[in-house]
Amino acid sequence: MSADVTLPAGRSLAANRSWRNELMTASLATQVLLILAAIVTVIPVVWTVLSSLKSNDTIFAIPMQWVPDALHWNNYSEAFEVAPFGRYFLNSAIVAASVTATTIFFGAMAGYGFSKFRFPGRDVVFGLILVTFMIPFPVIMIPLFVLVRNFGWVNTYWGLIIPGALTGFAVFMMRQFIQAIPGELFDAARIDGAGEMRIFLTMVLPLARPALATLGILTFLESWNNLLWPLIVIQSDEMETIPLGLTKFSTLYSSNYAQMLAMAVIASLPVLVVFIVGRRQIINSLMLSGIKG
Amino acid sequence: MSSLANAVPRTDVSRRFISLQRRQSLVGIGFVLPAVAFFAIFNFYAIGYALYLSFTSWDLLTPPRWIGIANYTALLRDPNFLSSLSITLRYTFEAVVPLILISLGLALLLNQRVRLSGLYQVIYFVPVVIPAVVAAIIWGLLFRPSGVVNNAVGVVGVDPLPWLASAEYALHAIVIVSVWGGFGYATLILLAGLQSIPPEYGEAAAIDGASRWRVVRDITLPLLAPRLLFVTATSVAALLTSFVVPFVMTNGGPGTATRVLPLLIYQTGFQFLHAGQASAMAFILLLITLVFTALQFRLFGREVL
Amino acid sequence: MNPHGLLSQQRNRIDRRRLLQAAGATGLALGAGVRLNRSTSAQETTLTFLRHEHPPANALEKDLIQQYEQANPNIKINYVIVPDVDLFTKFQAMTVAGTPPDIVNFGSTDIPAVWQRGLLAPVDLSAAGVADLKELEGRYVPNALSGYVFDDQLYALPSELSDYVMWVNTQMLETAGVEAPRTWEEMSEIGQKLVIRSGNQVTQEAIALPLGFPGVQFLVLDAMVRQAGGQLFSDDGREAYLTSDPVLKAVSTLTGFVQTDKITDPALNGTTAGGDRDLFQNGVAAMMLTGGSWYRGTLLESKVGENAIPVPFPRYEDGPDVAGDLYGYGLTVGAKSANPAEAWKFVAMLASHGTDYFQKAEGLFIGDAETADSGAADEYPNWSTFQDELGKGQYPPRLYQFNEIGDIVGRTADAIIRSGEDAKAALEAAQSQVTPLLNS
Repeated sequence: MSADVTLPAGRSLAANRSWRNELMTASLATQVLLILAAIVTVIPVVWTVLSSLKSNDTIFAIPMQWVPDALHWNNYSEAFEVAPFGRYFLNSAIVAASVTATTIFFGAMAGYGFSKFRFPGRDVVFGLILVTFMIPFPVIMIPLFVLVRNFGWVNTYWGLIIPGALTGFAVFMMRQFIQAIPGELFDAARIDGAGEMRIFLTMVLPLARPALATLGILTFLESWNNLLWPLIVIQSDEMETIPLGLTKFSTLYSSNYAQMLAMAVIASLPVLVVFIVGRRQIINSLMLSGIKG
Repeated sequence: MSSLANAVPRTDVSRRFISLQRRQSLVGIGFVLPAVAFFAIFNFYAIGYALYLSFTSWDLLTPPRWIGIANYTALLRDPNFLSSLSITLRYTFEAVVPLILISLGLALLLNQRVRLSGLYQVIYFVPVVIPAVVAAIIWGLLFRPSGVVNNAVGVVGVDPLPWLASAEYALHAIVIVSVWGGFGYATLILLAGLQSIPPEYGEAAAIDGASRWRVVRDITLPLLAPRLLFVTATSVAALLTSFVVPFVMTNGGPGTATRVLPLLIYQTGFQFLHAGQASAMAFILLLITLVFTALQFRLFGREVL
Repeated sequence: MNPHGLLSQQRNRIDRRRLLQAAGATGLALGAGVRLNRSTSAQETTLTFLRHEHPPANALEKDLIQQYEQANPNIKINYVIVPDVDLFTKFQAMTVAGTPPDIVNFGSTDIPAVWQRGLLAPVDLSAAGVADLKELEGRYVPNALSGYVFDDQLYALPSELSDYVMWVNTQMLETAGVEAPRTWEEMSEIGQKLVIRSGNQVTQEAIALPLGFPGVQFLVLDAMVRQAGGQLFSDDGREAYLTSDPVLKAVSTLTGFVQTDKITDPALNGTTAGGDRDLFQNGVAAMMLTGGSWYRGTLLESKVGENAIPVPFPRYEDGPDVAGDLYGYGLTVGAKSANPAEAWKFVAMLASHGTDYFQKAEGLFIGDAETADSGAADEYPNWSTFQDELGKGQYPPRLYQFNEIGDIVGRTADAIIRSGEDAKAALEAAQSQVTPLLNS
């Protein structure tokens, strides 16, 4: 591109003009590239939705057709008959909701404790909790299975919920956020004689609401989409969650692709809805996350 | 705190002050206790137990049997394990490079005053939200001989590729799915980083005659380094421990071409009933993850101004 | 400071703490309560029966259970059904939790592993109503029990006996004007005439191979190696012969179909196990090697319907008359069962309903001679094919680490077949991987 020469002052106007020109043409190329990326991103989703409405024979027809000849809504209704998706939904919902609740509540409690109080060993313990963030799940999945087995929680909701009830990330996120809330508010409340728990419930939590919302949404998404842990803990059809049910279905009945895609759409709808509703929160939290290396 | 106690005469006020400190400290402990207890049991105890298991031979049905470091020595000579390790590393590297480049590129593009930037952000993030299982199923169909991908490459005149049926292409297929599923997240984080760089820096440099490219190279990237580091480190860690896509889309096949380590660990522990060996594998994976993270901090951490 | 405030603070904290403690205790109690899933009173015996999903068989068994419970009021059967792929994991989970099932319907390849760990009780012959093993063997077709005899004792009664035959699509064969091949050599020739292409895509292939399905791939290979005059493993599972010539011959036959004759396209199989069956059911493949007598039920519900018949598993032209491998499921009783005699009585009851299984579950054959020779069997189209083949097949070698070994061998074969790579090198690698896993 242009040479990195320091131009004399008199030439700066011309330089500015060419800079502005560059900005204009770059904008066109920029838009094109962005659109291209968006199209590539979205094609699999579009194909899925369209194909879920095709008849099974036409999905891999040669030459390929994008648009279904007729709308086969029966793929969706039949999908529910073939596998108990209603049950899977219920299980996923119960687990995801519970995990979200425990995560934001206990995460906030811990975040509050670590940021607004001082006690011996505080920073060391916090550091250790952060370290758990780094542990790959395969390292602890067998011990977790053994623990869950010892508690008698194999193939139960407890077994699905408890091991995922809190994460180091949640504690970290809540601590960062609550740290920024001025502590004087709480001190004032204490002087007025408010109990610690009351302060936490009626002051800290409401003030932390944006972080709670974001953490809640992210936790919900991750819990809903989790496959590996349910794969290990669940042993019977009626306890399966959506990802697990979908996996089983795709191996047992792999030939009805249209139906499988209908199920994929059904399985994705809840998370997509949560995402669309909470997109501002999620994106803002990513943007604002103060990550300092 | 004790020096303070000595400095101030012991009156009612100071006694209350000390006990207030102590009580506050107890309250703080009380608030973090549930979390700490949870992590103690479900993380630290679990890790300790996993370490213990890695020194045993255990089939999940009869009691574990202590065998010392035999698992580790056997693994280091086991072609199955070494091959899986190699596949995992190749997969990680092959995926993280395009992932970062694409995300960085898109972030730079979005950083210009683009209309509909918000819409693009949402679109790019959709694959991140879609359950991995769903993505694996969809792409499994897209990679079929007469599927969308082959149709697309056909448009540029390339013959249909065997994708998931070929040992060579199956890994590329998984890489593609992983990049598709992850770039949105990285893009947004990098974009946030870019937007936090004051535009005056770039403008000042431009007035001095620096080209756009030089601005990016010498100002933007160094300032973006912390976020780049974060994104790269977390992506590498996520790729090294990736399970769902290889499991659902190819089950490690064809042959063992896509049997990444997390998948091998799962199979070894729960299908082949070698829980001790699986634990040893998992610890080796942990070690590798830590080494890579530390390496990245070393290499790129220095760039932080 | 407000003294009242301090007191109420303390009271609040104490109440909250008590509440949390109570909640915690309840939680633990609930969790512990889940373990107590067996109600055994002094008079009543509860037997837990673990079995895989197979809707027609499950429905029949539910009826039989109901009848048995009515006839035996002090017995209660707890019937647990899981998908086939999860059966072993479920058994593991229950065992390790301290509540192993009394009766388990294991796949035949899992039984050696379970037996070796001392987890099975031998068949109670008196409960089965026979005096000795010979008498029991007489009730079954030849070879049916051979897979379940260890140290001269029988450890399972077959609940399903099957044999891989070759299923062929009669319509496709007719259109191409060919007969079903009887030998692997004929397969190469005849196969060419059954392949249809559109551009450079294969739209109809001659035969679908069980790729991506290591356990099943193993069974097919095992039979072919015997047909080539050798063995993959010794009968006692202590030695492996993966680099022997018969193995090379079998593998190269299959590889040839893909690479040289091009009568089958691995890309069509997709990525999930059972792809070969899907291809056959959807009318994309003319022949298929991994269906037993039970497959007819699945076919009738598919596109192919009645247009498929079973024919004998192909042989080698000059090779021994060996059919596809036998496999199936066996009803076992746990070594730790509280009441093995009652358990075996119940199992024997199920085993006496061979004809019902056959008729109500579309050809599900439990291996008893009575059903084989009955009118019901005669009504099943081409039953004689199955019966002949059953007599000429063998159970696969009884490997204690079948899961892992089958996985290694299956994946190795898969890789060789798909890529045409050097078979000898790959098989040598497999041999060295498999050696430490052999029975000892």
